[in-house]
Amino acid sequence: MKRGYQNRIELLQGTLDLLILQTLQWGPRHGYGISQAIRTGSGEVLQVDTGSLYPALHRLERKKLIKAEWTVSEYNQQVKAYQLTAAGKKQLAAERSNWKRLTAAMAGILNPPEGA
Amino acid sequence: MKFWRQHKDEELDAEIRSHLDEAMRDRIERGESPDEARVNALREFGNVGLVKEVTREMWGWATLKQMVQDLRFGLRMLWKNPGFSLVAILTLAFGIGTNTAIFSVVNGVLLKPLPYPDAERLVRFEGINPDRGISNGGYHSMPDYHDWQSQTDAFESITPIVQQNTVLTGDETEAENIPFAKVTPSFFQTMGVYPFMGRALLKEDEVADDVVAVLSYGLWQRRFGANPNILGSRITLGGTPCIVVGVMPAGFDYPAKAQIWTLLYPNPKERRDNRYVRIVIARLKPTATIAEAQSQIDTISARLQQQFPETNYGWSARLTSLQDWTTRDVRTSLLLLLGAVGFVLLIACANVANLLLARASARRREIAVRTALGAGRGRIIRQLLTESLLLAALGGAVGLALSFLLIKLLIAISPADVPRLDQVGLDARVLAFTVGVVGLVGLFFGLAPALHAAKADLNDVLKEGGRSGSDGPKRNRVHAILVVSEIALSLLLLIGAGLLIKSFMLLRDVNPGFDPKNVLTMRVALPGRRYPNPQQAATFFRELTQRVSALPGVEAAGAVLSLPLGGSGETAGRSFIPEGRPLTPEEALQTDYFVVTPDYFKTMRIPVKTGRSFTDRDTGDTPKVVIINDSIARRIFAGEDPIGKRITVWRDEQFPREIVGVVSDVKITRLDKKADYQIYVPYAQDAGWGGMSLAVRTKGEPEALTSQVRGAIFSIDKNQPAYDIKTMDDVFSASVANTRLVMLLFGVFSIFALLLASIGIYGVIAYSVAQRTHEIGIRLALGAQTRDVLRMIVTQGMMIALIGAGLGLAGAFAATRVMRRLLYGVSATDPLIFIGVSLLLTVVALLACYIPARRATKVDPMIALRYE
Repeated sequence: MKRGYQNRIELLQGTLDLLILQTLQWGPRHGYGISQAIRTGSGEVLQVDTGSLYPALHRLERKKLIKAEWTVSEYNQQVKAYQLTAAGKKQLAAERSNWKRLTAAMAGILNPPEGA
Repeated sequence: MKFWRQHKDEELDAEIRSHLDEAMRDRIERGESPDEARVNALREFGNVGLVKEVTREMWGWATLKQMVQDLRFGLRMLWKNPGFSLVAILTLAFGIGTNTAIFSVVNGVLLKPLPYPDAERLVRFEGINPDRGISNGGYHSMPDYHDWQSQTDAFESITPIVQQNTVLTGDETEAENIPFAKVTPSFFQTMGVYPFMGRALLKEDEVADDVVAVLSYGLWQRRFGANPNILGSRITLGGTPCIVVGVMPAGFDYPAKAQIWTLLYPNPKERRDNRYVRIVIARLKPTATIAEAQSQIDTISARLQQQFPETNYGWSARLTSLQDWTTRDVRTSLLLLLGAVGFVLLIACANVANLLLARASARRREIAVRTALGAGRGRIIRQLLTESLLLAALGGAVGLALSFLLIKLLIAISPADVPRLDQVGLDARVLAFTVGVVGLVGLFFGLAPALHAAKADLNDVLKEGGRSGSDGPKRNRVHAILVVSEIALSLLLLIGAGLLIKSFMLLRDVNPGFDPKNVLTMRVALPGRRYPNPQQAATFFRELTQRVSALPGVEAAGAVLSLPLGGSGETAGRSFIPEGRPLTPEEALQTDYFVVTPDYFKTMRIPVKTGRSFTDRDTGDTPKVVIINDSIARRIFAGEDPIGKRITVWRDEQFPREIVGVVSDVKITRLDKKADYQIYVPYAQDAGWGGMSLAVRTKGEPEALTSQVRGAIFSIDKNQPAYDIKTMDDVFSASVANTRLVMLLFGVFSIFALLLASIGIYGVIAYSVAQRTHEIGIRLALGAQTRDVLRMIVTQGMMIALIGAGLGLAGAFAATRVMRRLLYGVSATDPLIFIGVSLLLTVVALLACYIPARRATKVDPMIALRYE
């Protein structure tokens, strides 16, 4: 399963949830749309495995952080579109600040100030 | 749920389809051909089935579905190995069944609360004399009771009760003997139970003209046809007419299955040392503890001892919760048996674990293939655990059915004096216990093999090709540890059984002081109303014993206040004073007082050591005489001839009695208790006792004479029933029945334990022989003698057996102490039993090793080598 993904970065546990919530910040999207948005948004570095994406979507839906609705796409196709709930927006804000703290801390360790 | 689920499935399909459609459209827009686009979109998406599967897991059903899968697979595996499954299920069924059965007895007898409101607040008083190491079995004098009642504040109420039997006569119905109780009005308040119809007994009834009575529900139903107008009607109780004023609710029969409650009239002349017949129970205040109440009672007892040294020297009272008191005789035995079956279950589990381990190696390839196909470790463990839990559940189901039969059997063979047997059965708590045991058992014997299997390195297994390779030493060590513990546990049980058997045999050989063979006994209670004059009663019993002695097949007949070994009747505990030499308080031991008819000693074959027995010439008008037992002669009249000396007996202390004879000590309450002082007085000189036990020594079978003896009673008084008809042999066996039952059950359990342990050791050796076929073949081919091979295999088995036996012995040294209360005449570490039982176990283990070892020597080297 891992064979084709050697040169891509594996997502950290929990990061996918943050990415999904972030992607949905600008409006409802369906599963394929979310995966494309993450892919293009990351400059093709992050490719979301569908085997992770759909479980994550259904898990977030169960946690009531996002809600799903069947709508018609621009190509006149029935699609299941997800959008953030109020709880999801709060969660997104919280996770974003967590992420910032984490990256700052990581950066501090990985790039020690000159002279140290 | 199913429809909803189908809907969700369809929705997921649609979602994935739309994903693929969108991906395809993007690709076509980027210039791929529709066919290319479809293939690439699918490739990019990955395994559709897997995505669906992992997504579904998010819905929360997946675990359930997997469980069903595992269960199905587990059932299939069991079905495919019927031999293994049958052995495992039956082993477990026996373990779980016996545990459920014994636990249901423990539950019914010990755990279920007594059927009274807030029953945990009920306590019973036990009179004790710690200096002299005696307990009077819980009887008290009224003056002591009054002091407890008036000088304590820990009790909500406290009440004295007299248990008796009496004759209920009716106009048309046959006279019948029933247990009844004399109680004070506070009885109902203390028990917290009141009549469901009519009223309870009141203080005013003490001075009323009519005697009033409260009936039990059962008696009202049975004898009075549930007559709704029973209140106010008259019944005749022991010759006394009473008015029924109430009926107690169904099931209430305290104390001692009482059917009628009447008033215990106050008697201001009661003596303080009259510790006799009256039991005392109390209800603690909700805020008070037993310890607080006990310290108040201790204070009062100390003061009474100072104030009344003659009657109260050394006496105090111990409080016990009514529940503990009720079950005090059986508690240790029951807990011990529960421990024993617990051990049997552990051994059964170890055996099944061994079976599973052996089978796990056969399944290593299957498990490796599953791992290779993507099953995670957790998944494999879960599946193997599901299988063992399934096995445990099946064993539990069969065990439950078995326990149903075992409970019936246990109740049937239990001695009648085991309290609360009617409470024993399968109830929610027992079922919960069984389910708990099944769960624990399934985990216990399933976890080791499961962890083991999941740890196996899959490359190694698969590389082995078709050959099922031999196991490492590690697995053999697990086998060996399991068997060692089996041996240790079964040795522990066997030693326990051995100790119990030895004490039972010693107990049975105890000389009770009389000859119980061929003696028929029955109780005759003359009602005071019809025999108001003691001389009438004396005439009745003189005539009765004469008529019965004259019956063909009768050797002798006598009557006594109460039979030995707790046969029946009331024991009267008193004291006596030798003339001219008052007893020191230390000498004043508990004295059992008997009135007897002249032929009583002859009937019971109680040897008269010196002096004479009573005769018909000892009457109310002749000089007062008494016979003492050996203990009094030895301790009070040491070195002198007691014959002709005079003592004053409690009952008629205005005049002394002359000692005319000394008889042997008789075991009054239990075989394992030393005899106290015993005093015998001729019935003719103390005929105030209506209730006597008739004893008849017969030439042949005692039971055969029952109707003739009853006929003799009816011929004197047609309204006089006899009850409690039994032989002295019955009384004798009943007195050892508890010990016997515990011994029997313990013996059965330990034999099963031995059997299981030998199967265990056999299995391990057989398994190891099968594994080493190749090695043994080589050894034989290289010239080893069969004797060497035999020795090698047997040594391996005996190592396990001896380590197990050593641990078992060590455990037994530490553990048999808890049995001490059940043992008689044998120490808890009796060397003979310890050594003998260990030898027995070693021999059985040797046999269990020898059979597979023998098979090993039959290995044909050619076949063993070619087999590779």
